[in-house]
This record gives sequence, structure tokens and C-alpha cells, in this order.
Amino acid sequence: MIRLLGSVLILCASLAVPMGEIRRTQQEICLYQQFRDALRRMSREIEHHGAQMQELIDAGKQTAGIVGEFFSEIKISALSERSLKLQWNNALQQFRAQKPLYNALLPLGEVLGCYDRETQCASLNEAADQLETLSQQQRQRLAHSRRLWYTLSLSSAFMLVLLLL
Amino acid sequence: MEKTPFRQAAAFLPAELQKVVLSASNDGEEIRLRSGQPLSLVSREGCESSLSPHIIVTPELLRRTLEAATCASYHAVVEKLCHGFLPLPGGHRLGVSGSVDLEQGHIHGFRSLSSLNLRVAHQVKGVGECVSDAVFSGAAVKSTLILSPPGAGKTTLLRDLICLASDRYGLRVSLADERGEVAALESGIPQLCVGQHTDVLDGCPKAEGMMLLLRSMNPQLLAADEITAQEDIEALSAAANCGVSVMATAHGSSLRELMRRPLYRRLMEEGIFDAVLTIRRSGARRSISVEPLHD
Repeated sequence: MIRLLGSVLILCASLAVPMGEIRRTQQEICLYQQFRDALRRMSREIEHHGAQMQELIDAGKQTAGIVGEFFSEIKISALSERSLKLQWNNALQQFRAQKPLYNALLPLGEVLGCYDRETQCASLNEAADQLETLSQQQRQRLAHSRRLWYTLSLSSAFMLVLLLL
Repeated sequence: MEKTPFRQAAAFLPAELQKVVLSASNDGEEIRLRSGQPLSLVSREGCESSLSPHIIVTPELLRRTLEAATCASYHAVVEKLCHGFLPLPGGHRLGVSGSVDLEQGHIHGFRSLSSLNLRVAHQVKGVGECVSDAVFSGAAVKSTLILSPPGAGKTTLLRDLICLASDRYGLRVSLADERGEVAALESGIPQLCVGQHTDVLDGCPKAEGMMLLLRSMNPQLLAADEITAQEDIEALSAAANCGVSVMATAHGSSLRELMRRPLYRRLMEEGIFDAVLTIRRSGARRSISVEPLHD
């Protein structure tokens, strides 16, 4: 009985630990992709329609989850009190972005709002490319975690069978 | 409490500059920001004075002012800025100066800013009353050219005469407001009064706009601000030949001075206008003289 309980516990732990890691990585990939899509959309709207910043921020707010919340922190009506750069940086700090995401998004606060169309589009695309690279890296990590999870679950199952025999 | 035009205009400044401006004055014609210099205010009398020697305008403050005035959309308004100023809601204007970026000989944008001039919209109702007898006769309006040096009130007089033509004389007026200075349209609604029977075309090059209005709006009076190009003269001439009265403004201190410039000599030779109104400014006082051109 003790052997059975011990085996089940080992099995559960070996499955749960990589599972948590997988879920976290999936969330990060989702976040990177949402930001990447939002930035690409901003770049497209600036390049092709010369959209106003208010429209771009409003479109960003429509994005689900943290990305929408991030854009909600930026208030164009408050530009007299706080510059866009300051608001952007505050929003980044507020949602505690991971270092790589923070580094990719930080320069945009300076560029958005007061640079020409070409510079803004180039910066937005550069940040989106960085997020794409990060997302790919995380996908590789995810695949690795999944392999680990399969291996662990198979070995644990094997161990369980051995113990039960 | 309703915001005065001065307060409305000051709201485009960063908060710290707003405070300085509003604590110093409740009215003025222009708020000027020059990099490395104290903030200054041009009064209605045309006198410029520094507001606070302790607050020096920095490039960062200029950048923030432009950011606030453009709602962080420099990229969307840069074409307007390349013409020298940005029309703001309420009819105010933000003039820009600095190092420009040239592309194929044309201004493409600003590399850095050196000065900003926030010009407060100024609607003086009734300013055209003193010349209404010379401009209107019964239900008809004479084709009129308004002349004055910059900042003397050409646009203000044009706006008031449009208002009179539209509201008092019931004329259908079409206004080609290329730079949005006369009516200051916002979401299709004029922010400055141009009368009930006035159709406004905003943002369109004047010459093209006047022809469009002539075709689409069947005006009795066609008005445009600041005639500066041959195409504008051709459009005015086309309108006049269709039997439509025209009203326009031009930079110049007198008719004689105007005739010395080839473009305007051509304009006057076309015989489009029946009268010239010349505004002269001395401090806060302005006087308008009327010169009939035809009997």
C-alpha cells in the first residue's frame, strides 16, 4: 500500500512540474504573439492610413488580456500632464513585463508620438520582429518541455508498473 | 465656467507651462516658445513680453508641446506642419520652426524644433460692420479683396464678412478653407462662426476647392483665405466669370505695394474685384480703408 501511494505521488509530481512549466511558456508565447500582432497592426495603420495615436491605442485596448490592459493605461487626453514616453514606461512597469519583453517594448515609448511615419513603422516592426524571435525561442523551449514531460510520464508509468508487480 | 479661447489654447501646452501662462495673463494673441529662451506672450496690442525668467524652454518642452498639440500623432499631421503650422481644435494654430528635413527639394518633416508659436483664435464679431455698406449693396455683394500685413486681422475680417453675408443678407456662401483657419471645422462643425448659410470645404487645396464648391454648392459668394498661387487666381477668375461674387485675402500693406508683385498685378488686371479693403494696425487699434476699383 505504501509503495503504491509513493509511486502515485512520484508519478503526479513528475507530471505536474513540467506541466506548470509548459503552461507558463504557453502563456508567454501567447503574450508575445498578442503584442507582436498589436505592434504590426499599429505599424500597418500608421503606414497605410496615417492613423491617429488615439485610434491606435483604442485598437490596442480591444486586445484581450494583459495587452488590452497595457494599452488602457495610456491616456492620450493626459498628454499635457504626462508624455507618451512616461505613460508607456509606467504601463510597462505596472504589468511587470519579463525582461526580454520589457527590453523589446521600452524604446517604443520614445519613438511613438513624435517621430515621423518611417521611423515609427521601422521601430514597431523591429520590436515585433524581436517578439517573434522571443516567441520562437519559447516555442522551442515548449517543445523541449513537452519531450521532457513525455519522457517523465513514460518513465514514471514504467516505474509504477514495476513497483506494482 | 466656459473656457475662454486663450484658456483653450493654453490647454495645448504641457501642464507646467500652462500654469505659468495662466497665472500671468487671461488673454493674449500668441504664446511663444523658443528653445533656450523664457516663455513669452504677445498681447492683443502686439507687444511681446517674457513670462517667467526662471522657466526656460528646453527642446524637451518643445517636443512635449508638439506631442500634446498633435495628440501624439506627429506622423499624421506632418504634412500640415510642413506648410508651417498646425490647425488645432477651436481654430487655434501652432506654428513650427526648426531644422527641416528636405526630400527632393521639399520639406519632408522636422529634424528638430527651435520655436513654437501658439496663436490664439480670435473671433471679433461685428468687425466687418464698418465696411458692410461698401461691401454689400442690397442683397448683392461686391467681389472684395482684403489686404493687410500678417497678423493684422485679414482672416478675422473675412470671417465676419462671411457671417454678415450669410446671416444678415441670406446669401449662400461657399468657403474654401484650405488650412482650416477661417471656420476651424471639427467633425464637420465650424468652431468659429461663419454663418448659417455657409458651406465649408476644409483641407482641400484652394484652387481645387473653389472649383469643387462652384460645381457642387451653387454659391452666391465664394470665399477663400490667402491667395498665393496662380491656380488660386485662375479659380477666382473662373468663379467671377460664372457670375459669382468672390471674397479673398492677400498679404500686403497697400494696393500700390500689391501691384508691384507680378502675381497680384495679374490678379488685379483680371478685374475680378470691385473693392479692396486695407487693414492698418497701430498697437491694438486697427483701421480699415475701402478702395472701390470700379464705378
